Amino acid sequence: MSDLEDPHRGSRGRYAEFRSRKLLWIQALIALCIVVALFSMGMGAYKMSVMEVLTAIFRDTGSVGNVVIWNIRLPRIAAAVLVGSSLAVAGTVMQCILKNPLASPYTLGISGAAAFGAAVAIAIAGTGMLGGTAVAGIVGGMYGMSLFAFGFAMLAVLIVILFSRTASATSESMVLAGVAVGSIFGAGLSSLQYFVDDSTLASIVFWQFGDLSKASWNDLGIVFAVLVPASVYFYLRRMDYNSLEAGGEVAVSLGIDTRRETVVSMTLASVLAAVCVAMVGIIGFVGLLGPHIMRRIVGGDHRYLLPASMVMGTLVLLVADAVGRIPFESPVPVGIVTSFLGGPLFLYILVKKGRRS
Amino acid sequence: MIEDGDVVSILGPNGVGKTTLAKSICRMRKPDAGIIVVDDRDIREYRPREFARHLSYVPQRALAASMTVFDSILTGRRPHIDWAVTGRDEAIAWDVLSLFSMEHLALKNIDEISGGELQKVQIARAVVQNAGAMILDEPTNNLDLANQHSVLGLIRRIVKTNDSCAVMIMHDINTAACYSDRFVFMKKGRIQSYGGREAITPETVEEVYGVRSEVMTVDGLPVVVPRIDGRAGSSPDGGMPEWMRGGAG
Repeated sequence: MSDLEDPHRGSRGRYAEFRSRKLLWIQALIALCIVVALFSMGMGAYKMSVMEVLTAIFRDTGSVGNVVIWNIRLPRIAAAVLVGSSLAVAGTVMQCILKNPLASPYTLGISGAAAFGAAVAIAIAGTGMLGGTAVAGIVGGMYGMSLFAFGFAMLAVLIVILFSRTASATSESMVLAGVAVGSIFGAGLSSLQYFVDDSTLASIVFWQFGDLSKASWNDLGIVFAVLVPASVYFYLRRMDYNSLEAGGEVAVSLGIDTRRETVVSMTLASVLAAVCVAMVGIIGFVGLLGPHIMRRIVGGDHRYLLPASMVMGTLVLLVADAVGRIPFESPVPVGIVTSFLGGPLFLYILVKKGRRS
Repeated sequence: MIEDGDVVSILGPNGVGKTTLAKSICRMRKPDAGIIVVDDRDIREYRPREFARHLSYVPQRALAASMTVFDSILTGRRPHIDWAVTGRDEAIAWDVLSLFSMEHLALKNIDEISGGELQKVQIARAVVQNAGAMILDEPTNNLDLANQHSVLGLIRRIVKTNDSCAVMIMHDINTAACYSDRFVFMKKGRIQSYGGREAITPETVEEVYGVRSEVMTVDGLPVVVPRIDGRAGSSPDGGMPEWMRGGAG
């Protein structure tokens, strides 16, 4: 049938093409993630080729390579995948719900609150307030820190959500509220750092560096257990998010309970981000970079944007982690690399976007 | 009190509560008194999604986003979608897009199109929703003369075809008169009069807007011509300030 016989056909054909192009982008980026991961796993003090990496993953030979891959490098890759997609999807949802491109776990003060929580745990254990008791050991241990980090992150979330239910909450003021909450916890963190002794200070500072190597298989299991139900929920709500883009009133007229949607989506996104920060420390910018890069490539349709952002978040963390390990004698924590690479990249995106419109 | 198959215009001066009335019908704010019934049921009894299948709404202002025209119109199917968009949903969106002659814009982002086109996207989204009643807050906003008439004509044809109804907040009585069956005149938060074309009288216009006018009949439609100072054909008024009379500059 020619375009003349059916007036829709031209546009429909182009729309179908447009959608398959988006799908192709997502597939290509997944492939790129796999390639980067394979090369990244070969990097380090014990060098391995891609073939050796693949053998070590799929065949249990009991060799050194086997141990290195399964105990050190694969958890790292898994951490990049889980944390990268969690932070990116959380950022996408927050940006949509708050209708603010600046919303992300980091800018809403969640990361800062988690850092404060971890610092409190470290300080309690470090100052000997609880003596050498078992409680001190638990609080100062890895799980104690994660629990404190998570608890305080949820406190920040609660403040932001309670604020969102007040009459004066607009999309701008929500982000500003997040900045204010972040600054309160930041001040708390600084004062803790000021009063503790040197070795405690060192562990507080060390905790804040987002580092994928911190996460054990158990930690990753927890992130996975939160990420799967959260992202399924987000994906089921994809058309609601698209409706919200047209404004709250239109969303209500399309049958969306916007208040409930705000609370549920924001809580899930924040829990997801809080769990990640509790496990690996502060990694900024992924929640902004993932969605913003993909919004330019696949557009604002959440049916594609949600999965695409997750893939891009993963890719950003995989690349940043690999770059940080190039000086393999003393690898740079991935949180520092994402901020170093992410800052300029983000500025570039903003400038390009400004020029287009 | 609104029948199926009717197009109703709500008319009245600025700030008189037209939008408040529309938002009350759409459950976006609670009425101070009284109840509102849609399809024989109190609107408070509906579940959100169910309500969206009975009533659609076009707000006064449209928000732009980085989404394509087609995907944006497709969100109108949301009250009918269970798990995923179906072929039927897409077919309906394409049909409406072609009724609005906007197929060529399907892949444009809605932050790249003109204000009038964005307004048409909003109305198209409500049409795609296929609800029993449509509430439109100033649907002719941002539309040029040709588009005003083609869009209102289209709304009327839709209402007559699927026996639904449309309630539009309008400012221009004459345009409203071309496409509406019934008229609501509002004054100070109350309904002053409600009726067919015969309700448009010089007395009502003066009562509601405080403007003296004549109502003529052209092609069977009422046309309101205001008698107001400064109108072409009337003499300039003496009530202007002194400094303005010596010429500008």
